[in-house]
Amino acid sequence: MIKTQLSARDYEVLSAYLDGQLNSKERARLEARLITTPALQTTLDDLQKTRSLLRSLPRPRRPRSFVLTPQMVTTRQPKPRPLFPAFSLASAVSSLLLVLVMLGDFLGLAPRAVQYAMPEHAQPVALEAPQPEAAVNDAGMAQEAAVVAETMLVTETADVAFAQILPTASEADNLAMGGALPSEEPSAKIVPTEVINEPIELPVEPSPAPVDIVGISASLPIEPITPTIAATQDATTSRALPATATPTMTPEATATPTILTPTVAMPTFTETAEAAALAILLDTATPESTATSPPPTPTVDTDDGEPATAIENQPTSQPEREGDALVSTGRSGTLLTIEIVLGALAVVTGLAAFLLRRGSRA
Amino acid sequence: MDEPALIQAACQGDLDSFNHLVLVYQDQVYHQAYRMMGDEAAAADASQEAFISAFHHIRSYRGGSFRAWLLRIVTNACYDELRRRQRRPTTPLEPLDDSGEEIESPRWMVDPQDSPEESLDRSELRQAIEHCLQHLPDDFRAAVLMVDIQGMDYTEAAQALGKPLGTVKSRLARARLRMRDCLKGFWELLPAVFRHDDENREM
Repeated sequence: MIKTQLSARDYEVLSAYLDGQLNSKERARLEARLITTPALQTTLDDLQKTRSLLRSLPRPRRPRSFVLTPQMVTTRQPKPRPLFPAFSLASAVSSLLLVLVMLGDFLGLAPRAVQYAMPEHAQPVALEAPQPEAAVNDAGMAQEAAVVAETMLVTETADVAFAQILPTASEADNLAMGGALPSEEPSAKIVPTEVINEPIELPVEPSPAPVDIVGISASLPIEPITPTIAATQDATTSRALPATATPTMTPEATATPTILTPTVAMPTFTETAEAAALAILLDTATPESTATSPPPTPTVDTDDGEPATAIENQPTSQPEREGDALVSTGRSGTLLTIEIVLGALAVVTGLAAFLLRRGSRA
Repeated sequence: MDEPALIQAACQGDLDSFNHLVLVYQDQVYHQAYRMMGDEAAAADASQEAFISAFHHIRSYRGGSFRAWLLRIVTNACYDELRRRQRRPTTPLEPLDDSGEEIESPRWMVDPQDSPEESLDRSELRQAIEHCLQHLPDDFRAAVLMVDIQGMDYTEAAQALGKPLGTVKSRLARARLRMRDCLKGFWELLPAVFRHDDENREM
């Protein structure tokens, strides 16, 4: 059978044959095949013509002499190294640091930040409430008044508060145990009455973000204590407590304005508040973190055993962490600052590198 | 002075000695660059650049064919420029027909402003060959130029291309095959030349 289709090897052999690059054995074999295979002979003819055509190309006229002058070969000054690599590296490093810090924050320090930052939301409301005592009570959670709170909380206010709370706690528990179901309604109604007093003092502006946060906590039925607080109409604590309680009471939307006010009325604590908000937003995926965030409501701080059962594991560890409160929020604030700085640095250096690269290309 | 002595002197930084070598090889170097690039200005730039680079790196010459060493430098300079052009493509030389295809005929290349002498000089056949050569992949073109334009044997071509002998053989064969296929598009221009070749073969 005659092979009409030539292989790549055949073409190579033909090409080498034309250049006289085959040894005698290869040449003899090819010449034998050329007789029996017309396709091979035709291709050889074509390649021969092509080769001749290529070789027929005239040598072009050289436009000038390429003799070198001393100026041409004087060692050219190395171009000033563009700053691009430096900025590029700086951008990469700061981005990496940012990721590391955020990761550390997210994994290790976020829960604390949330835990202690939440009360701070409430704190300003309490501070703006008429009674300073109430403010102190609230500040029990707040880091600023941590020291005062430790003494005050345990001694008078808290005692009074919980002495009165405890009896009612059972009722409130009943309400709360009903979960965020209809039974919540009455308690929620109580709060607004308290709440209404405060919004008068504080400009309430509804904004979507805080509502989201409320929504998150609302979805979790972890607020057995807060109803208790709300239920207690104690003269001293009631005004302060609702403020702190409001974040937890908000579930049913009537109280949403109250949670808004804290965030609005937080000019002094913006940093930590932001950290808390950030942490909450970041932690929404993990139910535990949101679950732990509300417990720091004032009642928890007092060594109350009762809420402990209701709030799973938090209350036991709470008093110990009291002292840490300052540190942890301070840390979260610092972390946030670092994150912002690193983020800004990454953006700036990245942008600089980009611009430099474009500049150097142009 | 013979070539090794000139090279030796150039290694010591003697520019005059190196320029003697330039005078010997500049036509071949320019021809290689011209066929690689396809236009005069780029070829001249690549040639000049190649000689400057050769002078600075002459110590890296390790014997063998000095021509192959020089042609390798200029070919690499052309590769660099061609790659740079690919990154920043310019308008294609070939005009497009109504269907958006490139017009594969050399006729459009004939400049109506050319003087009769130039028209004769730039014959259609020559333009066809150059056109096909420019449309080869760069590696194939370099191989075919070393052997068919510079007249190197396979060993020297392998040195000039910095590739194994087998690679050179294979590239050369494929380049010639592509050239054949491309030139068949200009068949009407070919018979005279081909007849001539055929007659030669008969002899």
